[in-house]
Amino acid sequence: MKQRYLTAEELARIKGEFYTVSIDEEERPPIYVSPEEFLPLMKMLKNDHTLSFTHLSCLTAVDWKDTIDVVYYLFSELLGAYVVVKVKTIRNHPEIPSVTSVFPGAEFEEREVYDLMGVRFTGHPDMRRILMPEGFKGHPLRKDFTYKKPAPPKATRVGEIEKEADL
Amino acid sequence: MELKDRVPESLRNNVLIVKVDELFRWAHANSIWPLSSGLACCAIEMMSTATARFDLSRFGYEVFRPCPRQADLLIVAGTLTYKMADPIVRLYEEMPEPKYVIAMGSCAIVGGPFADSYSVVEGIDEVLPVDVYIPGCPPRPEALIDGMLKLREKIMHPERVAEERAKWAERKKEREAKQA
Repeated sequence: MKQRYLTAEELARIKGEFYTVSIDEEERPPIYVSPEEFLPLMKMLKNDHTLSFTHLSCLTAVDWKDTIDVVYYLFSELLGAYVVVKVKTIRNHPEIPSVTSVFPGAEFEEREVYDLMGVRFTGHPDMRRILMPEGFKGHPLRKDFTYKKPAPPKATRVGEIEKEADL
Repeated sequence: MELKDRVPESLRNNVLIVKVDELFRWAHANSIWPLSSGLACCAIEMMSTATARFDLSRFGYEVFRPCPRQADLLIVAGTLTYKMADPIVRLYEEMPEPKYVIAMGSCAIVGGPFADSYSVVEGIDEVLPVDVYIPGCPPRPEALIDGMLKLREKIMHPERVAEERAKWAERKKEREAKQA
C-alpha cells in the first residue's frame, strides 16, 4: 500500500469545519490550528468514520526562534494516509493542551518535548522531565540554549583502600 | 622456633604456610564477581568477553552478579549521563567492601566523543574512585581481560601500587620543576 498525504478535497472539508485552520500547500500539507481548536480537531480526526486517524506516529517540536511549532503526524489505516497537524506557540511561554485525553500513548512524547523544548502541556497527567535529571536548568534543544555542566554526584561511602590511595 | 619447623616432619611437603591476609587476597583476586551492568556499546564487548570464544571464566571472573550486594567489581561499560549518575553511585555504594571499579572505554574515561554534550559526565572518575582504566572505543575483549588481570595484580600486590604511585608523584614533581 502506497502511503500518501491528504488530498486537497479532504483538507478542504477539515478546513470547513474548523474556524482557525489554515493549510500550507506543500508536498506534505500541514494543517495549522490554534491551541483552542486543537483538541476538537484531534478528536474529529480520530473519531470521524471517513478519516479514522487512529495512530499518532510522531510527536515533536521545532524551534523557529520566534515561535515553537509542535508537530503531530497521524496515520489512518483506513485511508493509508498521513496528516500533519502543527500548533504554533509563543516562544516565551509555550503552552498547549495535552493530547493524552485523545491518544494516551502521547504521554512520554509530551514529556520529552517538555524536557527538551520547554513546551508545557496543560492537562497532562505527569508533566515531569524524562531524559534530563530533575533539577536540570534549561531546555537543551532550544536554539538559544547555553549550558554549564552541573557537578555530578559523588560517591561518599568509598572504601578504606580508596581513601588511602587518593594522593 | 620458626613456624615451619612446628609442622610435623611427615607433612612438610604437603603444607603451605601463608599469611591470612595474603591468602584472602589471593582467593579474592582469583574470583572477582563483577556486577552485570552496562551503560552502552562497551557492554556488548563485556558480554562477548564472557562467552566461550574469549572465556573470562579461565581467570575465575565469569560470575556476573545481577545484585550489587553480591558483587565486588563494578565495570562501568559505556557513556555515563547525568540521569544515570545517581543510580550508578547508588549501585556502587550498595556493593560490599572491598570493592573495585573499572572504567571501560573512552566514554567512561573522559566522556569519549560525547564529552561536549549537555548530558554526559566527563569521565566516571568525577563520580567514583577508579582502579583500572581500559582505553578503546570499544576495547576488545582481550583488552578487558588484560584490564582485569591488572586489577588482579593490584589486589594481590597493593604495595606495588603504592610504589607506582610514589614514582608517578616523583615524575610529576620533576615535570613541574622543569616547567617552572
